[in-house]
Amino acid sequence: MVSLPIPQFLKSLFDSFPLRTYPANPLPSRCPKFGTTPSLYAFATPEDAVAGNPSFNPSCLKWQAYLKFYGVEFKTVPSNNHASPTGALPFIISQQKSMSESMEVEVVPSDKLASWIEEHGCSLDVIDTDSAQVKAFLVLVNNQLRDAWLYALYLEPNNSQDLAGKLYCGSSVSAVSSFLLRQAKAAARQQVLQAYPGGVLDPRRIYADAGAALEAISTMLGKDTWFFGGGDPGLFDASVFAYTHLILNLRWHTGENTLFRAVMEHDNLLGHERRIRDAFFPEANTPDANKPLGSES
Amino acid sequence: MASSPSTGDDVLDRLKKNVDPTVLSEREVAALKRAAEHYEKARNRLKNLVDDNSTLPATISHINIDGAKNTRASFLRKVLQETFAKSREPGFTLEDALRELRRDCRTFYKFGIFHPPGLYIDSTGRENGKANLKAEISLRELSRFTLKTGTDMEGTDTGGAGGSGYLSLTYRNMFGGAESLNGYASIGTRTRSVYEVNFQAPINANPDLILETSGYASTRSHQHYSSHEEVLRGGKVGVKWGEHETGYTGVWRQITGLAEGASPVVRGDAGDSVKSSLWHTFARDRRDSHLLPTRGWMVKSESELAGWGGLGGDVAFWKSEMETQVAAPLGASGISVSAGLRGGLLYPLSTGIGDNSKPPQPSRINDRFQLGGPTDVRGFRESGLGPRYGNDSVGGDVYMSGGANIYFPLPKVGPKKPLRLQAFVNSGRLVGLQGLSEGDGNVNSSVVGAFKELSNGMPSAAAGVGLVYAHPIARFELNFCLPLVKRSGERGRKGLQLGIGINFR
Repeated sequence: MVSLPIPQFLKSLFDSFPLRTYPANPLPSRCPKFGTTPSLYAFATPEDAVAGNPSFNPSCLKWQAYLKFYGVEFKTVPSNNHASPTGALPFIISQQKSMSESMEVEVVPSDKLASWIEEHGCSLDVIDTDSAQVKAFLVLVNNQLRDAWLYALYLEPNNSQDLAGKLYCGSSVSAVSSFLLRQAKAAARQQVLQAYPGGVLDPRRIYADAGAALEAISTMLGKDTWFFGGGDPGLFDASVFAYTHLILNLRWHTGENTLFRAVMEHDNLLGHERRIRDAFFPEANTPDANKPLGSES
Repeated sequence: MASSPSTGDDVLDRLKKNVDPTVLSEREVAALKRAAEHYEKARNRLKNLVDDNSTLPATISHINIDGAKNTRASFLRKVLQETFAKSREPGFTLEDALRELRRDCRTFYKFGIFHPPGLYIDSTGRENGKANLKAEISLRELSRFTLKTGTDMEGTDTGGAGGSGYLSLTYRNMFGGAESLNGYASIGTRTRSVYEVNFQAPINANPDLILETSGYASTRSHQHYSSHEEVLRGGKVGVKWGEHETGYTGVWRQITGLAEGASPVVRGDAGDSVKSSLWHTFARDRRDSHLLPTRGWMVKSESELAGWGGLGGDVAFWKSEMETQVAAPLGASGISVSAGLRGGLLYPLSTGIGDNSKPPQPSRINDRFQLGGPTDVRGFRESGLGPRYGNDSVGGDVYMSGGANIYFPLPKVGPKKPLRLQAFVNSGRLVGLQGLSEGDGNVNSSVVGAFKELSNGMPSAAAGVGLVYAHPIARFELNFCLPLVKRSGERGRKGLQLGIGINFR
């Protein structure tokens, strides 16, 4: 663009346009109205989101639990990965001022959530998550346990149809649902293959590795209330709870519930799950009331 | 008229020489001046001829069709059926025969599978006091496969013009009944990608009644005004007849690829949605040119019923848009004026039937209207009108816009050239329905409220002057614009604005 010097009188004439400015158009009905309560965009059913119940997605549940540990007030907004600035849920939209004062919002992606929550919550007696020991155990949760979870949910044929399909790929049109489920299964397979290269996935090995990881985590917890002897639950507790709670509560199919049985073997992990559930998600389903199809007793 | 056989033959001999160019040049009259003159002459000659012998009783004994080797005989026969039936009626004259045969030629041409047809008429003598006619229609089929590639310019304004390259492959006359299969692929900056397969076939060998089915997948960028991309995968089936078209569309929409600064409104609507809808469009265009009209009028309407009752999908609404334009010259000065008015409404409906019925839901960004831009409401940026959240134009459920232009021919250039100076004023309002929450709220009172809001204060408006050039494929405008009235946040365009497009409002 070429810029020419504009005479002053022309400029002031120019500046007087538009001659009349009315107040802004109000937003259409569906547009979210933000109060000062931060919104956690997460995988959740609309009913669970309103009731403050746990998300059905481990990553989202982890941050939900962590927010609750820190006493941060928030509301859960059901969402999907397309909405996220990083391509993955959850994330937080927070607004410091009310909508009438400012439309400026802060979007906090998942990798910045920990520090954001710690900054906005009360102070807790937790251990430093940066220690080498915690990191080593986080790897167990985020790899072995996660891979087995992905396998159980997406790659076991019945579970994928009845659980993954309903939870993640729901659409009013079955053709769309099945297309989305196929995509999700391919992505899960891709993910699990990173840890188990070779093109063929052996469920026995995946579940065995997860079992060993649970064993190690259980041993680590021992008789403590929270992991690593903390006075309050911390990020690692949230990470473990996110899996144990969901593994215990999903209605796995008979014969596809290895992961459920692996968790059931560790009484201290069951107690850990119950403690967090009772303290922070009092409305949530309990494993007993919601027996998986495959449980024997 | 009583005329001797020899006279009849003579007439037919002369017709034989003249009918052909008539039919041919009918298609090309607009394109080639020379052909037009030729056509006029031929037409006059023929007219005189026919006028002199118009009441000569005649019958068509047979029509020979030549050169349609890939076209089914049954299909050709169906086209000619009516002509034969008419020719057997008493009182069928030479004039009728000519009209019928010419109509058949036009019909063949309309299928889009032939070059302009040639028509020859001969007489095989007289029978029962009627001239027995033998006609020959010579057809030349267009090539069965056409491959086209090219580039398109898309979008304008200061957001940076986009471009795209396309490839289109047509398989004509697939089953010998003027069916066509078309594959289209395009890749570009704004319209990131489009893939479409389209099948068309005339129903009952009628070129004015077309069945159309298509499947498509596209990705379009709406980043420049609302921070997202939309991926569409869908199909449609429709019937076109004359100025009407109606059909069904099922489409899976995905809002994805959000910009970092995307507003919560866009984030809230991100993800999947399925629209299942019945639609109808109507267009009547009586303007002398759609790119630079100087006289005539145009009416267009589009209606869509989505998700209602058993239609399915997850959105339900009635959506209607109307557009009109009139143009008139001011005397013989070469100066002309045009005025246009259009409006639209999205009315949420309840989804499902019986126990699965859900109350009306507020609209999503995929379905709401956008307004503003150099080809739309000048003096505003593309989608610069209506409700906004931060940088995003989130669209509205009700709109109204209107404008008036006056065109002056350029001195020394004159009114014959498609070049004009224009002065315009145009305005618009785009508002969202208020007070509807998920499954709660009265739709009627929201709509009434939105209509009231349309007339609340002066509409957002802009005026300007500029230069218009109507190139045969697109119209170009360069205007100096000044927004006069706007809503806070609406994005006016002060100063120069360039507009390129086919549909100017």
